[in-house]
Amino acid sequence: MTKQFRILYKVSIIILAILAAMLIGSIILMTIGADVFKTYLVILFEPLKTTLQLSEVLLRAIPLTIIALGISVAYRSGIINIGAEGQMAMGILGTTAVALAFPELPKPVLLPMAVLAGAISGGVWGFIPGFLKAKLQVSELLSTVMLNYIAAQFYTFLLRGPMLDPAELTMGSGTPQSMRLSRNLWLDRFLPGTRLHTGLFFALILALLIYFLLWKTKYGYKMRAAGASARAARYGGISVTWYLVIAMVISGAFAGMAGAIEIAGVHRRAIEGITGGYGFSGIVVALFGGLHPAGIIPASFFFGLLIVGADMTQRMVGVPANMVNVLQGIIILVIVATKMILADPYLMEKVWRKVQGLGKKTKEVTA
Amino acid sequence: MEVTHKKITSLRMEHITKRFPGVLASDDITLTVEEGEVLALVGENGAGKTTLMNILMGLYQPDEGRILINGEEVHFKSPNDAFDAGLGMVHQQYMLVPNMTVLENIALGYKQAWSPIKLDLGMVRERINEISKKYGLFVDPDAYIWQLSVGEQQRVELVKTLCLGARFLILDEPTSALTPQETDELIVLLKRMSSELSIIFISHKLQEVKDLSDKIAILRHGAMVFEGTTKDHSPSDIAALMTGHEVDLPQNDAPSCNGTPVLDLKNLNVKSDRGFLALKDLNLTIRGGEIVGLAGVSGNGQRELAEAINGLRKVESGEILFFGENIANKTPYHIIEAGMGYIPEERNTEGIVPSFSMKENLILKDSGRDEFSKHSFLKNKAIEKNANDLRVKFDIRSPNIHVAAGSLSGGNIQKVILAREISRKPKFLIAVYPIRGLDLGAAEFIHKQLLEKRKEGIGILLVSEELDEILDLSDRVAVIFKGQIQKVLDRKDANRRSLGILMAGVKDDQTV
Ligand SMILES: Nc1ncnc2c1ncn2[C@@H]1O[C@H](COP(=O)(O)OP(=O)(O)OP(=O)(O)O)[C@@H](O)[C@H]1O
Ligand SMILES: [Mg+2]
Repeated sequence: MTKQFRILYKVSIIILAILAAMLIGSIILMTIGADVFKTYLVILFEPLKTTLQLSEVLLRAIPLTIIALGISVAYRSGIINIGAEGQMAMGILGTTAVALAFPELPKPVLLPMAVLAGAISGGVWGFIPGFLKAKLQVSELLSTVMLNYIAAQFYTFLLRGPMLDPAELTMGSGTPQSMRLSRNLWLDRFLPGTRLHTGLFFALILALLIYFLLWKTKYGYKMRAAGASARAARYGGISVTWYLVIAMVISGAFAGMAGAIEIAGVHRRAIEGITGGYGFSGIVVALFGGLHPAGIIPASFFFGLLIVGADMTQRMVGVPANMVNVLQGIIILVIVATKMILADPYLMEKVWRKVQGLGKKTKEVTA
Repeated sequence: MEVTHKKITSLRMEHITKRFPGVLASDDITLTVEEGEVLALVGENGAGKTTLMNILMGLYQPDEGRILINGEEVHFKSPNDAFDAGLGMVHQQYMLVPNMTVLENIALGYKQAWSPIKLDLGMVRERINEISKKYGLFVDPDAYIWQLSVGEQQRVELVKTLCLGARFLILDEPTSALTPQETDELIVLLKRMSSELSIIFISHKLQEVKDLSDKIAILRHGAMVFEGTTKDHSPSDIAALMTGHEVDLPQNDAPSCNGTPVLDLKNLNVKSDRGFLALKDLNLTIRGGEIVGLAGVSGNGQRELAEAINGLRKVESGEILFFGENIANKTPYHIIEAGMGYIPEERNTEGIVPSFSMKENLILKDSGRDEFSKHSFLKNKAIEKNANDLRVKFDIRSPNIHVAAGSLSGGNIQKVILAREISRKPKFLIAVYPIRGLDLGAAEFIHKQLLEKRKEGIGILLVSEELDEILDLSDRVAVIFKGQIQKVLDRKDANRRSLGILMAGVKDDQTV
């Protein structure tokens, strides 16, 4: 079996999965009386038509990629992080706090410092469930979800109180948001007329970093071993609990950085609703991308497309944007099924032999 | 509803072929079993025995060939179809749910007791009692699986299979994890059962093949290389047919060494999973360059001892002096770095990460060593070279070094673990049932390796229930009973009889 075949096989399975998801989705679309074909056409192709819309897709893909990378680290190490939403919120707060405290610092100092603050805040928020799991066997499903709530409340509290824009207080409507952050924090927008910012390259670099960490270093090796079989890893002298905590810290730090990049690149101030479900979609993206950077990048693009496309369907065909959530749900189900298929080497072998058989026949025919 | 199955008067597999990625696991195999017959299926590790039986049970679909029962072709899409036809299999790895009771485990597969709203446990209990009485197989329906010894779990598997109405039993290495007594009991039991059932069993122990089977089939590289009647062949004949050469297990006949003590256990107290003291003030000293065999019926503290030494189980009190350093309650990492090698009991869950490739598993303990990583980056070339070398040296039968270790055959998984532990140059080795599940040729090779290590001056603690293995290899034999060392004998004073008495808990001075 050649390597090309293996890759081709996997890609075609994923495409089949997408088609299957769309098929199920179309049933739902039909029940709400929408024009199925047109809806899909709009979702999938409309956003690609203009540079502006394409840039919006990429813009959504940036935080998704970063969060999904973090989640894949946790997942591979045997811990399921559903807390990216809260970790991202904490990251935004950390970054905002630093930017508010030191607005005068030059950009080369402030920007890294603020992003780091975001990473640390998110990392701390990831550390807590990791530590609780390692020391007290507290289920991470519970603790991460609970921490999401705490983070959300804390976020609102800060934005309505200590971090509230003074201008809002004196003359504004009291919208809960911070003041506009120092220019020295802003990421450059490199495509004129769009909001697309240099965070894109940052996300790609992080993807490369995670690839190297997980597959090329001894730390990644140990994390993956701990995740794949905790007991065997322990017998092999790998401190499973330690790597579990580390993985959660990395995972949280990535979500935190996603938040930092999002405000430095897009919003330039902390406002409510920035996280907007990225933390949850990130899980789907990570799984859909096969928990591998090379899969996560296209998966984020695809989900970015869905988000932007859904907005447009609302405007153009009157299908509610919430349909994206429905599609996401369907995709999760399809992924689970696809995973089983991908994990079945016999099926792959069978297909391979079929393909070879075809090759032979055509040769005979031509000969 | 009563389970009614037609008798299986004959079962035939015809021209069965099965390919896995890179391996031909079954190569045009044809085999017949008549009513009341016992067929022994033997062959080297990775020869394709388990695969063939899994095909018979509907776990895998054959690429070619067909299965006939009573002359009619059958198609099993899943094990359920095979159960319905009256086939039952006890796998190499037991498939019981540990935190459920025996009753609940059996009820899981017992469909007659399931109605849409209610599970009739009383009915299952009756059925268990009926089967127990009929075959003299006693199990406690209310015991939890995790409380049972391996031998008891085996019995539960058998009862379960019989409760489901099996008229045709398939047993994959049923005795490899049993104590000698349990093995004898099982053989007697199976003999009794063979009057009403047909049996196919897989084994690497030729004595039991000889004792139990009517017919024998030998596989090599997926193909049937020999078929015959058992009584016409002696065990050594069969061994020669199987491996292609005479097998001669090596003996430790070198003079005892007088090395310095390297592992010194002092007043060790360790608790078992169930909370009682599994080791009670245990004392034992092992010197460099000697093999100490730890003989005993399993469940007398062997597992706890090995785990405590390796930092995997808490030491309540006492000392473990390893080259003078007390390693009690140190981390596994620390102990491995101090030079401890360990071949654990459960190869699939403790010895390897099943989803990792073979080459990755071979560096499980050494990914941080300079040999395999530099500035934390893994050296892929070195890792692959290591795997290729070990694959050849230990004759690990796998299509290549990139396959998932979990897809290897039972014996080959064991070889991966042995290769790693022996080649990483430990200063001391704890080998727990090292040849469990290995074919004769591989067992011979491993024993040679252990003796080689001994010659290099390494101390070895050999935990085994096989008295032959212990007597062949040990310089001294320590007998463990209820968490204490009953007695330590020199090789010359140890024999099957004296050890058997000690293992049963009788101090030998009481016998005279
Ligand atoms: N699920 C699988 N995927 C890929 N290869 C497999 C799988 N199961 C078995 N094999 C391969 O098929 C061959 C036969 O394996 P099998 O388990 O049948 O051997 P076996 O005779 O039972 O050996 P052992 O005595 O060691 O248990 C081996 O080369 C093994 O690597
Ligand atoms: Mg086998």
